[in-house]
Amino acid sequence: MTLRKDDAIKSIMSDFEDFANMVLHQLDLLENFVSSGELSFPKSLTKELVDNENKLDKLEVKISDKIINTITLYQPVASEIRKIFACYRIIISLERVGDMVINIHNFIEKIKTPKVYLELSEVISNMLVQSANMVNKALLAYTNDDRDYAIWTIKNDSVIDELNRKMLKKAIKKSTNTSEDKQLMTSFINLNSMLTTIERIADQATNIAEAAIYSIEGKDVRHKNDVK
Amino acid sequence: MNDNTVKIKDPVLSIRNLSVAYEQGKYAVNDVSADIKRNSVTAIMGPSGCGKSTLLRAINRMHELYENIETKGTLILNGKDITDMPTIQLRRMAGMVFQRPNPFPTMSIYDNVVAGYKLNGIRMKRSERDDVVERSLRDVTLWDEVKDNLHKKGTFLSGGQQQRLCIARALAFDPEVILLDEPTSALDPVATAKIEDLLVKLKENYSILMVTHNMAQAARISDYSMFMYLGELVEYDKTKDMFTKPKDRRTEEYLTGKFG
Repeated sequence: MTLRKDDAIKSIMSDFEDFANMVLHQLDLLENFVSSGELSFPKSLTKELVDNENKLDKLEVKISDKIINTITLYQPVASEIRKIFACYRIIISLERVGDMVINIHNFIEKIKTPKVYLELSEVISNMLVQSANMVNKALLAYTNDDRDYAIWTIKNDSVIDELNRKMLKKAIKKSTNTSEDKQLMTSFINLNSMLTTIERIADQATNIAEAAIYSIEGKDVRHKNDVK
Repeated sequence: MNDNTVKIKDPVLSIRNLSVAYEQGKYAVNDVSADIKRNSVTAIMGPSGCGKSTLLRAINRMHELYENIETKGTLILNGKDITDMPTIQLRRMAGMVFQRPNPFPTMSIYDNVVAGYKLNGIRMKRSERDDVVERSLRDVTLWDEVKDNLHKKGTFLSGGQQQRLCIARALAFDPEVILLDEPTSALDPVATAKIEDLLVKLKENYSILMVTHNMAQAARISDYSMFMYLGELVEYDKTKDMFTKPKDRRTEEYLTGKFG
């Protein structure tokens, strides 16, 4: 019974690693494109992003099934149930990150006024890099039982929130200084949505870090402002 | 009490520094301290030979049936030191149920329930005996199944029914605590489920202490769990906490099947 349970848990962790790596790869592809300053995605890149997203959706379902079966058949307890349950929470967050990558791709494609985007692209890229870094560290916190990485991620969320707030202010200021061009407004709306989506990636990283702390210590730190 | 022992208010049973040795210097139970919560199910778990059954037997002094037994420490049952009371009185307050159902084979179902009174020379009116029998058998949800066959032998019943009869026999004295030593390990899954449901129901009126090898059973029905290893009480906590975040590495390893 123990061997089969151990194998089942190892199988879940192996699939989880593939899943996490694929999401990080998606973020990497997006980061590289945004930092290039280009506005138009090559077709091959769009195809790769979409194909990977489809694979992620299927893998999420597969891992969820394995988790439910393992709990039903082998009744894991203690650190095992915490690890598995945290995994379940994390794949939900990662799947959302995957969706957000596609959403950001779509927002960029809709930008019709390159000038505004290019003025802000460096900061957008910076925000994206920071959010992706948060996701990476939160995942490391989980896979390596590293509490410090989890705490860093949770505390860093406020940095991204602040960046987003500043960016929005800047974008609004720009919009009031220009003519009421319909395309420009659409671009600003898309930029706003993109910034909010990037901020949401950071929020998901925080969720992953909270799940990591649950896995390591059995403490539920969600909705607590004073995590140390 | 160590840091891995839960604090209990108004316990029904207090165990302090209990040590029991069958041979001089070889302690089967070593310096165990714990409080047992009233009206709850407390499971005692651990690998074979860890001292679970010895601890249980020490509570109603059944371990004294062994020669050369050495006991240290105190046990306070509902405010009374168990060494200050006659064993007959103690064993009424702390009734024991064993692994194998053991109704007295020569007695009827009726007589099995009130056997304790008869064997101890306690005289009762017929009507009082009838009341005790019905109450006890109802408490173990056996009354409807046997009320028309009370004068048949106890061994006429199925294994699960026999075990419920044994529990009824313990309940006949209206005990403070019911002690059960692996009460379902000899039963089939259906009978086991019935006994488990019964124990959960009985805790409304009694405090239950149960040795079990079955971790899933402990998880299902106990409110508190003790983990013993090599005579020591390693950890004692609310079951849900012990099973999700055990404090001691040995508890973690036992629960996850690394040993035991």
